[in-house]
Amino acid sequence: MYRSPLLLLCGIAIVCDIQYTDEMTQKDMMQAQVLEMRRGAIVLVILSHLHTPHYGYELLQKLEGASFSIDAGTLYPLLRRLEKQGVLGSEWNTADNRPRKYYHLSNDGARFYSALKSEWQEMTKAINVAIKE
Amino acid sequence: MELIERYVYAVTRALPESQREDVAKELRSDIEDMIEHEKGSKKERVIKVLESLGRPETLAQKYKDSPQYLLGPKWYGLYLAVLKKVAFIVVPIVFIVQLVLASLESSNLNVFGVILEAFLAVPSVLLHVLFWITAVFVFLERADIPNKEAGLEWTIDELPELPIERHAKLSDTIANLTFYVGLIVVVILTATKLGIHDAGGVHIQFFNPTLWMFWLPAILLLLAGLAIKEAVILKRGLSRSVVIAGIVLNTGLTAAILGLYLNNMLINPTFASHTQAVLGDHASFNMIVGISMAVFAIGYVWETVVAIRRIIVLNK
Repeated sequence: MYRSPLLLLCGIAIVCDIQYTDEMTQKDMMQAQVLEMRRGAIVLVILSHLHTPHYGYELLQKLEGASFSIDAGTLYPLLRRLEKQGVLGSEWNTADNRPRKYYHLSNDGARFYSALKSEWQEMTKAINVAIKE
Repeated sequence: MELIERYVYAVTRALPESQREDVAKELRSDIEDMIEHEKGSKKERVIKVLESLGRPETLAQKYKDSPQYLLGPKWYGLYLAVLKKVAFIVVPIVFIVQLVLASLESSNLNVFGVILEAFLAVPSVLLHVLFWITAVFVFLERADIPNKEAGLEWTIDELPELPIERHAKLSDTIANLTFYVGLIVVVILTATKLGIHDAGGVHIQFFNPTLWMFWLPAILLLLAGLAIKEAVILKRGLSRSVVIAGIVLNTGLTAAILGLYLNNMLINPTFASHTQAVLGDHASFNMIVGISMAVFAIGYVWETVVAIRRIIVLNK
């Protein structure tokens, strides 16, 4: 006696779930691709800010402001890695109420940045040509 | 604040000594900065910031710069292929070796126990195979050896041959082959070792002793023939002659065994009567044997049907 409405409900649930999953995967795909694009550009954007010294959180805020939001947990290790690779230099500033580690572009880093910048400009030119069609 | 200290500790303890102090200092400063810009009570803000940073172990991995996975796309394909190949070879070998070893060990042969032992050995061996192969590949993943040095650069010689259209599933064939070889081992061991000891300590065989002259060797030969047939299928695939040979061998085997059984020539009569004496009831013993024979006969019919079907498919 309770079987048919139950079966009907199950059927509806399955159909709804399938549709929901389809929408979700498209959204997921979109998110994934956008993430990839951001990931490709993030180092360039970070370096562009570091002609002047910044500390971690300051950089985080500047990036948010430039609509380049990035996870704090991703930015901080990234800065350390860039320093390890010689692109950035750092120093502890004990001036304010709290000591903070300031990062800046090293000499090698400045060269690296301009090389990266021209690569990016080349690439963007090619991409713009491609998407114009 | 204690929560912050605990978080920093959780992150840095996964890091190498040299990095620890610097990362701790930097992380503390970053966390404090983030807290300043949050809203709510001090404790709420701390919790919000720490939770936004995520699992300390994961954050630590990001600081470490080592790959955040065991096996990556570089080695995964080869890893799976090696795993499959090794497993396919090792399992039948282990099964048969276990069969032989276990039966050599037990003095009074318990056939089912031996087979069970052989089956039980397989999962543990598979586990070992899985572990060691994975360990080697995890090492390769991290060793950062250029392919050439590791001798693992792929060359055209490594290309596999096209599979023969065997018309029979590979797993089926290997399973059958293992089964027949296992059966040969079991028959030999049953004939030699299975039995009861009578009052005088004399070993009473399971099979009728007169069978030794002709029938036991004949049965063993037929089984060997069936095993060889499976091996041929393995190498060259199904063909009409192979299937027909299989039907002939199977018929011979079934006819021999059932014939012997129905003529009461299969089992040693002394064995049967002793079982009656020991168990107090040979009706159940007869029943077990009878059921096994029935199963055997059904198996024969089944296999013959399969074989005939194969011929029909091949004829198309």
